[in-house]
Amino acid sequence: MKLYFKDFLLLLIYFPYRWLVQALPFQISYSMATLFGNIQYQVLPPHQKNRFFSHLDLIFGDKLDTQEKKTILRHFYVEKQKKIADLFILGRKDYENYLQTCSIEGLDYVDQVLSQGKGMIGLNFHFGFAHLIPPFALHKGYKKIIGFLVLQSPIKGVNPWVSRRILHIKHSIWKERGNFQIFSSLKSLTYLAIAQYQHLRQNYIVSAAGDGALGEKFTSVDFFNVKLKVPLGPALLSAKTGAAMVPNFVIRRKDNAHHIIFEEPIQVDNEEEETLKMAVQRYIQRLEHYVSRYPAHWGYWNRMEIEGFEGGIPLVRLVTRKPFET
Amino acid sequence: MSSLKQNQTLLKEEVFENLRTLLRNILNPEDMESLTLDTRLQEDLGIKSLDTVEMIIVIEKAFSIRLDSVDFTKVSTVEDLVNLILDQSRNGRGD
Repeated sequence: MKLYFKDFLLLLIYFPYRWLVQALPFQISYSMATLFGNIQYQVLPPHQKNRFFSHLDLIFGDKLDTQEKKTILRHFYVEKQKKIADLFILGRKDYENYLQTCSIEGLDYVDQVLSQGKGMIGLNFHFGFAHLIPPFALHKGYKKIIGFLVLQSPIKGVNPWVSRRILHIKHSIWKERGNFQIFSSLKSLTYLAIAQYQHLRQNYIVSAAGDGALGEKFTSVDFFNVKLKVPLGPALLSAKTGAAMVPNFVIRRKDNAHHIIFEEPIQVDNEEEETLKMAVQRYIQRLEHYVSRYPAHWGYWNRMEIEGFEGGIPLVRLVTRKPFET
Repeated sequence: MSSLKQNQTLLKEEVFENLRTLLRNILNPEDMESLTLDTRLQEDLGIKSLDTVEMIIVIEKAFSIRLDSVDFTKVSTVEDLVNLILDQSRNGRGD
């Protein structure tokens, strides 16, 4: 019964709701998304709320009172719904109008890195509507950009027919608007790395996740009150190819448009463990800065676990929704 | 090694030996002693995704060819890799 409900809900979101978003003014879509996010917050089972609050305590310590934690949780679900609206808006014919409302800073860093001819690793995070960067860059005239996405295939716990329909919609919007390549199997991690390298050597901007839950080699770095376990992949790719990493963050403004920030480039000169760790620490510090300012933007609050302790400090692992069929 | 591009009749054994030398710098040298054409890259040598990238960088430079990620999906063993290098050399897919 629960499964049928999930199928029904997904069909409702990806068909009538998507059509509405494609027809209505942008702000009405965001109002609907806010309503759905608030409903989701209200009906959230207590054990899920408590898990979310315990993760906030783990990361922030005892800085937040109960009301602040509730506010972050509610905003988290509203932001989640708004990102679905963003995706559907990107699928609209007039999506360029939506991209025109975005503001930007640090674009000079992109030009500076690309002028070296070694490509650029566009380091994104599970923060805000991060996948907006490739469509936005294309809109700004950067034709050599490619996004990479690892998507669950098929969607867990969903009827295969429904799963195929939903994934087809998501894939087609991402491919059409952001030149995305989509990966969905374990072996793909190798092909993803090869595809990233091959585009870098053609001086492309390629996307990579700085706080991904997937990877083969990890390091632990300081993050608020914990040690965060994050993949070394982007730093290693930078060291092997000579391409600089440019961390980028997408922040939702009060008017629901996005502010895109490109941070100072990070170049990795060698593959020594300490060098790689320092590079990762540098961009995780930037993530920490933005998470402290916009906590509801970070997507991992309900997907983390303590793996162990390092010098008495909790070592936190970020958890994937298990997209790979092993 | 750069003569490979001109000499398209280079033997598989020669490519294999060159490959063994190249891989010695990337992978565990001990594994190279027991390397055969049947050795599986991921399962036997434990090659990770970014090792593959490094391997491609080294191979492309040494053999003056370009390897494509689509072609690489067919590569599972050392022999597959040798065949791919030979194919790319014959087709002249380099810069």
